[in-house]
Amino acid sequence: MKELQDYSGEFNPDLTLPDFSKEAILRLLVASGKLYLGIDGIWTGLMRKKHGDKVAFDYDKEVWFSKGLELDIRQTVEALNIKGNDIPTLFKYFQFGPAFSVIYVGPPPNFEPRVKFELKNKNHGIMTVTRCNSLEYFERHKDTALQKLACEEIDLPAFKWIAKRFNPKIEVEPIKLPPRKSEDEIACQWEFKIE
Amino acid sequence: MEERNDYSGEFIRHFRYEDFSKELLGKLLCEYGRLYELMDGLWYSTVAEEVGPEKAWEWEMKVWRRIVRHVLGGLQKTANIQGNDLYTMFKAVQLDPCYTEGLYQYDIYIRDPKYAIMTIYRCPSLMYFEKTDPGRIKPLCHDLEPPAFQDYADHFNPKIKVKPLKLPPRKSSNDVPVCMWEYKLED
Repeated sequence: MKELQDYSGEFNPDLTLPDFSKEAILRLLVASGKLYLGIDGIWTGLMRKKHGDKVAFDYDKEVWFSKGLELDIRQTVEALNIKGNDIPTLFKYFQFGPAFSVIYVGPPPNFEPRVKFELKNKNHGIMTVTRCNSLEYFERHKDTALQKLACEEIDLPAFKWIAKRFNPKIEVEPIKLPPRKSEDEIACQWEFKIE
Repeated sequence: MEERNDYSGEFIRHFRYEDFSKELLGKLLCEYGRLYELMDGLWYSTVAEEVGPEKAWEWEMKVWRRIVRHVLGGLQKTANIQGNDLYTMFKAVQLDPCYTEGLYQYDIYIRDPKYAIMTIYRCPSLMYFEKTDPGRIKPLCHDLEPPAFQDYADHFNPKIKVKPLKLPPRKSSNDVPVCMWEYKLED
């Protein structure tokens, strides 16, 4: 059977994922990652309206740091058989982070990654987010509070938490964080090191 | 470059998602679907710890009534699903991250363009609540799902009417299907 490029044709009661082309599955993967982050956004948004920023953001942090990050790592590394405790291993997980690299990609068919990884050696690497959908959303809506929550109160400790989960000796430092002066600037940049 | 069936090998500097096999990407898609459901579950339990299950459930209902348009809008665009009949709606169901393989087991029977039945044989949410908090089964299956299923149908065509034919609670884990839904496209 010819691979489906999309699902514009007839309904197939026996449809399975392999019926689709790789490009179509990749599009679904990006959409799925966005929904995963999206349901978190909907909860946060509702809580902000009801209880204000502080309570809502505290809930969000609790969600990610209690079990969210652990589940995110586990489901991803197990599916991909990623094992190890050095910087390349950590970067391999980041490349498939469902609420991260997978949704920060260019359009099909290339899905050009917008999170770039430069490995200096197995103990030292730089991660650069060249374009970030979330930051662009915060900028568009002038939502500085949410931007600070995402970049400084969640991402910064989350990257540190994730790195330690792979190896307690990994140190993480932001080289550059938002806000940015123009759209030409990168979104953020991070250094990962094992001393 | 040969397709990779996992990512156990070397770190790829010039990384491209297309370097991975379709099978692996499909498997990952199912895991993302699972994470999507788990994220909601984490939010519910976190809020419930603070404000109690009743209040948290009110938010849960709001989230699921609100997310329909995000899910369906995204899926329709991603998979180029267009139309307003039962076939179109069920195409979206098949690709909904909640319904990815390994989570729910279900069957869609479309008898004709105006009548269909969806039967769910395995429901992880029901199984979770049966084990941990049976008191949540009625709010989930009787209060949330019927309007949520109708929202889903309304998104495609408000003339599609959804009616539950069978709903939990069930007497034992052998009591399958767990729920059944009738879809009618009215004139």
